Amino acid sequence: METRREDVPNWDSFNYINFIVAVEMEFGVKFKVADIESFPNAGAIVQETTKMLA
Amino acid sequence: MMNWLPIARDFRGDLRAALDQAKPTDALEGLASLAACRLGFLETVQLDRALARLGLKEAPGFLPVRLAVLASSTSDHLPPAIRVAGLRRKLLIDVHAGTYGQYRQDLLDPASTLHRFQPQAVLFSLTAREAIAGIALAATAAEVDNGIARFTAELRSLWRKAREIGDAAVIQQTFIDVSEPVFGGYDRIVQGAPATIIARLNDQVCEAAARDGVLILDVARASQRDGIDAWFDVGRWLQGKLEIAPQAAPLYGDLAARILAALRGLSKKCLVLDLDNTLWGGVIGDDGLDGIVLGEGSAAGEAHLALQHYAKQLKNRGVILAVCSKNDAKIAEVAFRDHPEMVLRPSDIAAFQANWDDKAQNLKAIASRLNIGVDSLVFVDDNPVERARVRQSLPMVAAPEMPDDPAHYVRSLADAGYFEAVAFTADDQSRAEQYAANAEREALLETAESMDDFLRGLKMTAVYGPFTAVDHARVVQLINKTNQFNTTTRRYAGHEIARMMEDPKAVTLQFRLLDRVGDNGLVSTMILRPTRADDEVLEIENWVMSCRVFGRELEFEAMNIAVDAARERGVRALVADYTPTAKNDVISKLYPSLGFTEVAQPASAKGTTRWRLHLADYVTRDTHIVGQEQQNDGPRDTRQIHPHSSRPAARRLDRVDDGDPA
Repeated sequence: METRREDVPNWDSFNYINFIVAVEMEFGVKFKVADIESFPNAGAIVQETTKMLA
Repeated sequence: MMNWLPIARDFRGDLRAALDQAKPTDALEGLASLAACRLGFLETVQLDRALARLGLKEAPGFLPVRLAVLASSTSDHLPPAIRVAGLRRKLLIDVHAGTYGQYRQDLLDPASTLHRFQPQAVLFSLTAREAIAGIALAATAAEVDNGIARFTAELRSLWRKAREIGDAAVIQQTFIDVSEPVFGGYDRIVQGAPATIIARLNDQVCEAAARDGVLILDVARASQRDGIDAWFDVGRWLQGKLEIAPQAAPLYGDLAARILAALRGLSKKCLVLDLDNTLWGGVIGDDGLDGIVLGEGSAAGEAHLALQHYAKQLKNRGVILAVCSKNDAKIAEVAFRDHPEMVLRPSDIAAFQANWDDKAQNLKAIASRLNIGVDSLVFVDDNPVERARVRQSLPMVAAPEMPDDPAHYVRSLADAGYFEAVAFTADDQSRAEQYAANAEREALLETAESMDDFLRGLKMTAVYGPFTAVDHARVVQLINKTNQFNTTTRRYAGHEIARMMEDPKAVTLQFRLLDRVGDNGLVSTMILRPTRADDEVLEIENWVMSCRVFGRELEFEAMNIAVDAARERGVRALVADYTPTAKNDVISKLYPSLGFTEVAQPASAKGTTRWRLHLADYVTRDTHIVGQEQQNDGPRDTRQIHPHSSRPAARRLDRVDDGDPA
């Protein structure tokens, strides 16, 4: 949950977009553009997804 | 999207199973069959990663292609989709993706990685944004046209640059309109409104593409069809400057791979149709001629009719039609003859297989009857069990998923894009007639007492000469589509052929075969050039012949003509390579049968053999074909037939295209 972009080897913007697309497709949610560029770590994405699903 | 592809039952399991194969080539086959399923973006990326892990640059049964994608928006997500769509067509596509926005520099700098990559095809994937930037909302029609003309002129010079890198084929993507209305419906009236400019931009770029022999990847059309929201996601644009939304990438890849396949002669050639509940509603064996649902007055009847109309349109552009149905042949044929609402008639169908045998067997019979590969068939059947069986036993046959509602049959077939074209020639328009004429010839063969008798009775004339401007498109098409009688399977782009026509050293020959039944069209081409080592030796770089005229002795007459042309130039010998492929075994004995002898040389990886003919040793073959030099300066005059023993006009072969109107 504390994992940040710089913690993952070879992580780049393409991987990040793939990841976001995967989460959006899996849970049927759509993140705000502002949220996508400011998620500090994986936990924030989980939190936002949970909020949208509630 | 991509509804014509069957759903993968167990994507992860199949992917793992493919990767568990001990041999990389077996793993590749596994991935290719998985690629033939409907995949979303994420699955496409996973499959592509698996493909990368195999690290194969080439593999038996797969054609390698090098494609460069030059993009003005982020395109990292497109190459995986292009590679996976390539696998679907047995292409191993090596994609070079330039840094986005850097394409001008990459094209102009001969030391760039793009130049070193030596692409065989270059795809320009540009956004409308940069094309229309600087055109004001209040611009007049003339100002809009000037702005677009400036952009198009620059684009054309970039196309030329791309082409100069190793004779690459150039593909231009159309411009997607992601603009919002400024005035509402009145946008269409305002010349400077973004939507109006983009429509005009697409028109003008496509006109330029037609002039320059550039092919079109029509994402503008696709985004109209699927809706702009399926193709463009403003969030992704803002987030990472992606103009093509990730979920549209798999279809984008398919559109690109279709064009690459078409360039390699891998588009499908024949549409095979089931009858009951496909071409009409109901079962003709049970319901009778009056009981089937077809035609005006019933919504379902019109849906089936729409499929017939679409098939007829395909036929009119050169796709061969065939029938494969579990039916009593007599009953099924009656519908084609006597049902008043039928659009398709017996003369539209080149091969008719109605019986109770297995459909896979019947598809093989159709392919062999038409002399085409089983892999050039598309099989349309409403019955999922039949489709599954055909996919199982003949995976190379395309069997698109058909929706439950016949109303959507045409869309499913059209969306699949099996018949992607890179040309439309006069020969395409008359192909169906040519197949019908072939049926007539077969009838003649049956009544003839011997093969000799049959060939004599056909009264054949071969009209020959150098490639002409009017026949250019057909020549390019024939060379690139022919897989069986193709000595080297070298493919040539349109501009390469055009340049060859102007090269005084090259000898080009095209052959049209006429007989008493009709015109078989332009059916053979030969390209000869002096070898590097010796100007007095001509090499047959490529020789192709349409399978429609196999067994007519045209290869012998063509060689007589080629030898005459060579002698006229003072040539001493001909040399030729034969490179075996999975499809050209039919000509494995061609050169020895023409009097060539094999030249000893180190074994080549592709199994190429080299052959030589000393012209002094050549004995002109007697054939049943009369050679007649083509008239380039007026309508063909059939009275001027030269008996082939004295073929005086061969000296004109070295003249290029004299007085041709085009």
